[in-house]
Amino acid sequence: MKEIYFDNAATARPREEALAAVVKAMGPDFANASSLHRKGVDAAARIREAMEWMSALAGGGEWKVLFTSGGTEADNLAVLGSVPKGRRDTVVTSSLEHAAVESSCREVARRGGRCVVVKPRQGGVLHPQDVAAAVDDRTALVSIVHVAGEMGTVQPINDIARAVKQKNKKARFHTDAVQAAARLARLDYGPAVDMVALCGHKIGGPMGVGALLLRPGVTVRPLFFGGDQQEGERPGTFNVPGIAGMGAAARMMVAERAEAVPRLADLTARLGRRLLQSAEGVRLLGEESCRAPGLLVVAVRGVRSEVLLHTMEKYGLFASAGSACHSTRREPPACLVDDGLAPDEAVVRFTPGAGVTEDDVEDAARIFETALQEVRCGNAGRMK
Amino acid sequence: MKQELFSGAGVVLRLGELYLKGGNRRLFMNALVANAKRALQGRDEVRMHVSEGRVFLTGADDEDICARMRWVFGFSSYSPVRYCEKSIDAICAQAVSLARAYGGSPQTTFRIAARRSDKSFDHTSAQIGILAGNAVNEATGFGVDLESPDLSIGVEVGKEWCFLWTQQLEGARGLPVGTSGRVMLLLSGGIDSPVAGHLLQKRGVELSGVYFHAFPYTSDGAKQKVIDLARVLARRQRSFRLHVVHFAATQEALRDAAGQGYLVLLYRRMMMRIAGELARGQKMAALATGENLGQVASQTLENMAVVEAAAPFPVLRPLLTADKLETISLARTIGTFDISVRPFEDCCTLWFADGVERRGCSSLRSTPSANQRARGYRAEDGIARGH
Repeated sequence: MKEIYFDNAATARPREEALAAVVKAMGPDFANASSLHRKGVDAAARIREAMEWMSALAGGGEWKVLFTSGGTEADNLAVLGSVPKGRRDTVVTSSLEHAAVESSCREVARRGGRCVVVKPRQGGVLHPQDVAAAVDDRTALVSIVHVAGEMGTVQPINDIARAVKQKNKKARFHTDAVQAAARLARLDYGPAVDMVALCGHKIGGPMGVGALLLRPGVTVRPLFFGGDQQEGERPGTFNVPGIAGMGAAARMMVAERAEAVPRLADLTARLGRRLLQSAEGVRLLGEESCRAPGLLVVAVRGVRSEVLLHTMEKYGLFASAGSACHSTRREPPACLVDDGLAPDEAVVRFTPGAGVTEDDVEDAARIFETALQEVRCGNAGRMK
Repeated sequence: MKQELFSGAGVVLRLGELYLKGGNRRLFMNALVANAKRALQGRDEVRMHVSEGRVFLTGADDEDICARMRWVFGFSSYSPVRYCEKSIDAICAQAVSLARAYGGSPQTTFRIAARRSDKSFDHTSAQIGILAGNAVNEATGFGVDLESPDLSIGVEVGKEWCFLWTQQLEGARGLPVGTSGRVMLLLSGGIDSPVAGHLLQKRGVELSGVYFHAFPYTSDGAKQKVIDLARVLARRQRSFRLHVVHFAATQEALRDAAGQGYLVLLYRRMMMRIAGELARGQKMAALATGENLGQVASQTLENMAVVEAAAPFPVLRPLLTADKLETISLARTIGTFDISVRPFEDCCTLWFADGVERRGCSSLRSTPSANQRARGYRAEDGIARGH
């Protein structure tokens, strides 16, 4: 049976180039990047190359790169590392955030600070003025997601960052660009953006590695302590295989995205149209003009999303119900409920990757139609 | 003389209920030794001997060996031991060495609990106690306390062996797995059914399992959970065959035929029939479930009777009268609790209407088509191995 993998927002299929870089870094180039001998110097060179590619992925310009264990740690480091414990500072964030930002902002509040959550307007897009309105003199940090993983919308990140800085130029601006880096044709962060979180496995690199990019002069307090790697801001032996793999994936993304992303956007839009045609009670979420390429969030009336997902899986189509970091949660994402998701609507998220073909889209739409019909008629248990 | 066999460190395992067995004791002992040997797989340096109603391991007494013996059913207790030469001097020297290894301070108290099953040994139990006690007292300054000492040193003298020990660990008790026949266990993925399986194994039963998989209504994560539970139970027996029955289509057919009323009972009756077919194919004599009287609506007395009426074999329910907290505590001890509480759904609640099924419907009857359907089940089998 043909497999159609439309869950790239959970993890993208790894790139061959990333796999080769991991194998090389765990094989011949196995040394500790902090060692002073030649082999260590070679490994350190791999780290520096990866730094350059991560900066290029974020649109180029001057960035200091801190490698982390993934997107979650990068977000935690940005939020908790910017707001020292015991200070009564405010963080401003949105209801569209990934759990990593949401939970670290809640942790700021638990430690005595304050956390303000801004909601998007209809269609899941934040308005820069709404965010700026939440900022005041006590605001230490604003953290806004670039592409909202559960809503599927692209946020006007530079406009938001500028509006924030006009209100309080000392407030730091962080964006979680984990999904954005995997599916936008370019990221061009203006000077108002101070920190950017990225990760390996959404762009075709390995899991367990990510990066926090900081503008020169911006420093964060470490979350944990150890040696003097990465100037002590993020201590611990460099994960050379992971970093090399992520760097290779970033290199491929930078080289191909200008061509690949418009194609991905077209095919995603086509998938959306085909899904809408396939049955009654299906609608696409998120403001149409702001939908991210390769990220289609669909509300389906009258089914349970797990049952629909497993029925599609039976025919070889792999999708999800939302963020994999919340897959044990029973309720739909709160931001979708705020946006008008009805209690009898289930959420299904299709996230095709760059290699998607027209055939995949047609097959996926057909499978969706068949599966939805089976689940609605209650005969999904019949095996093919 | 086997004296040289019994030297150095080892573990002595004491029989539980097997002691009471008469003419067929040999049968039970053979099963027990085979099970213990299997539990020791990979530790080839450890040898096993049976002598005078005990099982002796020689060659090692580490924690790994003790952990492996923890769930071999049939032993009441076991102790890491030091074997020594069968002479009063060697016994005294070994007792002193164990007391020194204990550490302690001048306030530490001890006792010697000596037993000799070899009545030809030239000192009585009481004399061994006194002599070894004096030696320990002189060497360490520990005081004697026969009632509640800090350190209790056991000495046992048999015909072929002599050993000392300071620690007695609780065994799994029960009867050796494989001596009480084979039973088909209905495993749901919940907390109760693996515990029920464990209790049956404790009475010597060898299990196979059957799981009713309702994909796409439940996920493959739910199936994996049951496979992992089967692996835990598999550690206590040679191998554990798990049957995964694709049940969703059957549930749909029952729903279409019967509507919502009594749906859970109909599912369960069908599960009994299918489990019965599988059991018959393996020449088993009974089915088993984790059912518990009154725990949920389908486990009232009336409903259990209605469900059991569809089963072709007796249905064993080891947890019938257990308290839920007792079951949870046992599940934690045997290592199934953390697997059971992984958040995946169970197939019994599909299209289930609340509150209509407390009392069984006595008019539920087996029909030829239901029996036919049970024989036409689709299953995949796998052998779970515990190690």
